[in-house]
Amino acid sequence: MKTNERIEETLEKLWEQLEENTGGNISPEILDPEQNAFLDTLVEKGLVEIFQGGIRFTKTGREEARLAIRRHRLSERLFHDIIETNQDDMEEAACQMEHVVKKEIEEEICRLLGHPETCPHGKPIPAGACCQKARLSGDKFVAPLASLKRGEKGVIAYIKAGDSKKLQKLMAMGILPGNPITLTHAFPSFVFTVGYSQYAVDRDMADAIYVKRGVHDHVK
Amino acid sequence: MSKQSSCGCHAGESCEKTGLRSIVMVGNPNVGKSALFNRLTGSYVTVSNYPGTTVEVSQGKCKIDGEEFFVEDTPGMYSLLPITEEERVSRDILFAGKADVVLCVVDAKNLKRMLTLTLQLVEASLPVILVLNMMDEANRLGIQIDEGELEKRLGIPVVGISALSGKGVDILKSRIRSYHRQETTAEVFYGDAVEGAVNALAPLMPAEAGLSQRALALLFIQNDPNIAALVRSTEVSSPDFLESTLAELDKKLTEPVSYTVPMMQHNTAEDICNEAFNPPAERERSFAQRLSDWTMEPLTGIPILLIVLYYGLYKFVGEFGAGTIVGFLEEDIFGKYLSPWINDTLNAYVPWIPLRELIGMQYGIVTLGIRYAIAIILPIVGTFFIAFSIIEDTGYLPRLAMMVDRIFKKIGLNGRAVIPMTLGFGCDTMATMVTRTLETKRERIIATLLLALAIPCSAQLGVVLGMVANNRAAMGVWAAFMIGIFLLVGFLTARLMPGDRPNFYMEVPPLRMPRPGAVFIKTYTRMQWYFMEILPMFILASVMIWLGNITDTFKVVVSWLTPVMNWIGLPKEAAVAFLFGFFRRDYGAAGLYDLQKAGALSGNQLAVAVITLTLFVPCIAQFLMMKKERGLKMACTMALFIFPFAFLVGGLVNVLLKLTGIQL
Repeated sequence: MKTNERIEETLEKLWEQLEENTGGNISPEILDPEQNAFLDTLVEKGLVEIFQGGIRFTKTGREEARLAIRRHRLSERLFHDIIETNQDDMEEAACQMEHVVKKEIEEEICRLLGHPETCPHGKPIPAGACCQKARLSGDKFVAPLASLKRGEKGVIAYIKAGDSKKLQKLMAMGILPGNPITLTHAFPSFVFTVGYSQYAVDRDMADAIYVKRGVHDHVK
Repeated sequence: MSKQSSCGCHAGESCEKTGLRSIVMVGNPNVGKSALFNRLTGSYVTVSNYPGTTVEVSQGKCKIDGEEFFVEDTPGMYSLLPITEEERVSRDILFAGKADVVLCVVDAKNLKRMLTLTLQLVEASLPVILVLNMMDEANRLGIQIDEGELEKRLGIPVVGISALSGKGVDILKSRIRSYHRQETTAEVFYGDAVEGAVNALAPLMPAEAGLSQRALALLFIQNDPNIAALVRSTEVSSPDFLESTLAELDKKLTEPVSYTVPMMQHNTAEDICNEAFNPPAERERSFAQRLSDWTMEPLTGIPILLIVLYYGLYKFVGEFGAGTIVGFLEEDIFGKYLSPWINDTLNAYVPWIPLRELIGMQYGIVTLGIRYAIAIILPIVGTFFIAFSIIEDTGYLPRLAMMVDRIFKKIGLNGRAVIPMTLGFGCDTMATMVTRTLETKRERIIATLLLALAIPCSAQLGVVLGMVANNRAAMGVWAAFMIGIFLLVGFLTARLMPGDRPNFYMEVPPLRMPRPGAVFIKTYTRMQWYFMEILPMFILASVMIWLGNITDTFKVVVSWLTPVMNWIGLPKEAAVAFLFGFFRRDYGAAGLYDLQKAGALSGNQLAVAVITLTLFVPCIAQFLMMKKERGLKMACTMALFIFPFAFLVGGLVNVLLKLTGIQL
């Protein structure tokens, strides 16, 4: 592992401990020996500091850790949502990918995923500049059909490729990327309109259809 | 639904024999193929506003300017790449290559979406005529379609019609009569990678099939299992070459082939529609659309469902069918005139007592078999089929499917299963046949079991409701047990049988006023099917009972059943009703009805009797249908479970009522 990658991994580990578990400062014991040995480098680079016998982030360190964890969790989302790899592959792929993602690509991924707020494990993804901007302007989010509001319109962005039978069924019914779609009912099942036809599907199917939101005006 | 085919032979056979030119109709579900089929052939086929009801292939003949054509209507298909069994049937017919003309029927207002299938058919070098059905509906919505432009872009004849009103059908007929293959037809360009693979693979595809080699190669690269098996079984192709071509294609494409190919077809369809299809500027919401929304909203949908059930089932079938009409036929016609007259005649002219009893008296063919069939069962089943056909024709059923999907998932089914389940309230045998529209084997098994066990057919329901009508408490206990057992057994079976969670997806057609003609035809074909099936059974049952009576075996079986009756707390006469019940469910119910009218049952006994009887055996006809659809082993396993289970529950109810000291 390259030094940079190690730094990022260690920062992520610290982020989980410092920001999401205990908070404040902690003793270095929670780190595995390899990372522990790495602490000196982090301190040297001014990313963490020793404080009252424990360790805590410096301001720069905290920001670096935040971005590293964001890249990691976004990568997980990408593999989970779109490529639909299994759990183990997802972890492995995400661990490699997070280190090579450039800032522009990170934003691109974030936009494609519809500025997600949590990773597949349910942990929060720190918001990027793109997320804040999107939230302010009500911009083009991509989200599963199941998460749309009733009456909301959008354009089908893509259909999750995990289960090709499901993909085939939806495509055969004419539910194809690029078509405008309106969600008319969300309970007990999902009902939506594409073209002049109406369809009813269950949550499983509705979760596979990703919709670019905010392209059309919202109908209240 | 059960379809009448005007000739009973299989696809293709008949045209070979007769030498007629043949027309094959294909298209997405619910585009009005069956309605057009009726227009062309004039034969009675169930026309239904429900996606996926055409299970069997209907065949008929059509005369155009003196020439006779052989017409085949296929189950709905969305794509040449089949997903369901029904689509496979349709594809196989096209694959067989017997068609002289293929009518690709589309819903004009959804042309954009359905044009992909048309493109696939045209690419397969089939002799296609594009039929834009429901043109009147599209025009009402303000949609303009340029047929000339479509003909130019697709290179095939295009005709706009309305199958329901018959408008444009004559033009279609003359285009069929004068059909000849066009020289240049539309082809989709799939990009260099796909085109390269298709060009390499096409020569290896079977040349004599009904679909072009290009089309087969396209299906092959999309991983169609049937085509793959076919290609791999021939000797022309080396497996290595096939695999390497596929692998290379996979590498070149950024998306899966099964995504790229339909996407390109869709784009081409869209491109054509941009020229030929002019949508209206603004769409207004009609009352039908608002009503449609209400049916799918639990807050309004459940009351609507209850209203439909109350007026459709309870008032119309229960009170009118099972009450008024049965009362008239049974008590007045048979009770006062027919049966006494038959018995008097027999007594006067037939000296041999067994023959008298075969025809008349207590269990005779006329006084029991025909009386039950015509005076009790026919009015109930008839009114049910009328109600069901009206509801079906409005397009309400898919909305009901959407409402119950969540609950049905818990019992291993999905919303689609409401069709066989609601039809089961009419006739479980017919419903068992319709379970084949369900997608997975697991769903078909669960649905078959639940139909046999917990869904009372209309005849049974009518009689049961008649029996408990004056005892609301017994009715409540019965209803609660039936719903409970339906859910519990479904839930347990779903746990016991491993399998994938079924997916629910279905098109929701627009709500419309039921059309009297279609309702009549649907009711008529169902009644006809039902009557042909039940009348012989009733007569057979009368004969069996008569035989059992004169040889005393009947008494022996009744005496075997007596301890069981004792245990569940019923009078021993009820054994006779249960024995009858094996010949027909409703027959047994009618037998109990007689008992109850004679005042032989207490409130508790009434509840036990109707619960046991509803659960009790599927009738012989249903059992035979179970065997036909699910196999002998599965049918026997289910029967072996149901027999003891029915009596066990009956006994349990009896004990429970006793322990709690409840008197119903």
